[in-house]
Amino acid sequence: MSILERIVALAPCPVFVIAGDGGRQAIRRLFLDPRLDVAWSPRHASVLLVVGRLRSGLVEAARHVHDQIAAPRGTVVWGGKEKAPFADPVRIDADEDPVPALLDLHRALLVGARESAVVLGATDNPVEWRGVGPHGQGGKGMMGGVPYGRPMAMTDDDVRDGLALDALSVPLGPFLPWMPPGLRLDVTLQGDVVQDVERTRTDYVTPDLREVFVRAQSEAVAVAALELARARHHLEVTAELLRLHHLDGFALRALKLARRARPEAADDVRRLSQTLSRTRALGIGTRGVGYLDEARAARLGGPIARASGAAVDERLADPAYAELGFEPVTHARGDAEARWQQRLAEAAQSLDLAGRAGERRHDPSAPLEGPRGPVPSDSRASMILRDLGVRQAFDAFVTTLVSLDLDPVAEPPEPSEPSDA
Amino acid sequence: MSAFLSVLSAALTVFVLWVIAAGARGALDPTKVPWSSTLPVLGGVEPKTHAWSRYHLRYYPMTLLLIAFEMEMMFMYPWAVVYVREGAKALGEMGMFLGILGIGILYAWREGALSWQ
Repeated sequence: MSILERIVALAPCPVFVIAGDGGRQAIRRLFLDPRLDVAWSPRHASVLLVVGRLRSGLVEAARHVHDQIAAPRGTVVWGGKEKAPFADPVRIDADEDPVPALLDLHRALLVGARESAVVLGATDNPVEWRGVGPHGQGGKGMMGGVPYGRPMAMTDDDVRDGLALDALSVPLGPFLPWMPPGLRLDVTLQGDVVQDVERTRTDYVTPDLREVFVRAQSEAVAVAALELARARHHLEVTAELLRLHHLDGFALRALKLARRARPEAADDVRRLSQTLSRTRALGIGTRGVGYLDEARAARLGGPIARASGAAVDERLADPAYAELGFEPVTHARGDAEARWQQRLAEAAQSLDLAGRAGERRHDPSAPLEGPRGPVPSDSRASMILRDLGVRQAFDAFVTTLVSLDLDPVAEPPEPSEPSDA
Repeated sequence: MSAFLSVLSAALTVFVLWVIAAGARGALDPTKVPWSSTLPVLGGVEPKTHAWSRYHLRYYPMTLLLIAFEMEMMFMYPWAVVYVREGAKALGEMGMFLGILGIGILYAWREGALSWQ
């Protein structure tokens, strides 16, 4: 091995991950590996990791992301069986560890043993610059022109004071690390303030629900297993929020707790919650953000409802939990801070319950409370994104989105509007 | 003559550097990145509108406040020169000046000029 290769071998592999159908949970364990640097943007990555199956509707988006990976770039497809839309990807099976393949590819790219994958999209702008006037903006004033085939932003009244300035339309998703895979949003911004949010279609079909909760709908499952899985979920979601706020050390702590979720770890979870509350590390960015009142939150169910003070929980109606003396934890404030505190409190409570549950089993005919609320879901949590998003600064909107822990795939379709005809 | 030579050698140096830079541009040109790699990162979709848009700089009262107070600091320099000579009188005067400015900050704070939005 040459000196260059030795030096390169020390560097963590910057990887951008896109989750295909059902790939969301597999991503979370990658954050724990110090040999990987999971990037927020494809521009900061060398390797694209595709987890799970890419449905046909997502192929175009995946090709876009592929081209945005900084050259030299390469692709690893983890578990997808179908013909991937990438040039010469490294393929590994779903039950294999992807990390060695990622590191090998990264090193091969850096030392030149492997050629960078060529872009899949156009190398030149397919649309000409067709502007008028000194800056090509065309039309009257700043409006009306279509430089490079894209219309200029049109004016819209600001939600705060009606000042008419340009509303910037920003389509987001489906492969943004801070958005649940499967969500596509059309966000309209005035400066940094969200003017409008519209949810568009999804191409995912597999809900992001842990396997044990899927089984619990049809067969008797140990209460301890359900509660450990719930604690894991809450800790992982909290880690996502911590990562979003660049508190990577705390995120790692939460993920490690999630990995070794055992009843004895309940106090460690409480200590993490106390540290976060006391240092205000997360509180600064989450207090007062994305407030949901009790009535609206109660309709959504799950930890979101309980963080707004509504003591709704399917476990209250479950005889297995009645024997354990289960009482739901609640928080009152209903903002993003209350939601992460709620999740950590519930994670600790779940670990306690798992320790006391013994051989008790959840009866499939009894109601089932999943990590996000009743299973199967009847809430349309992503529909409140518009209500919560409008008038927020974009960073607060992103925090709100992550704090809601959405799974748009599991939500029932929107009621169809009555047609006029 | 030697002055003429130094100007000539400087001009030659500039010319040589220009030729090297123009030659290196072909190899190092950042605009040669393929177009599809330059699109904004939106998670897999192309932007619908041009990103060239006007927006209101909401924090401008704060910046104006900053500039105003930076200019007030200018008065501190001549004051510092005469301070040793004038003694406590100068200190009292500057105290009054800063006190009035402090009231100004409190007023701006009450009016919301210090909030970012």
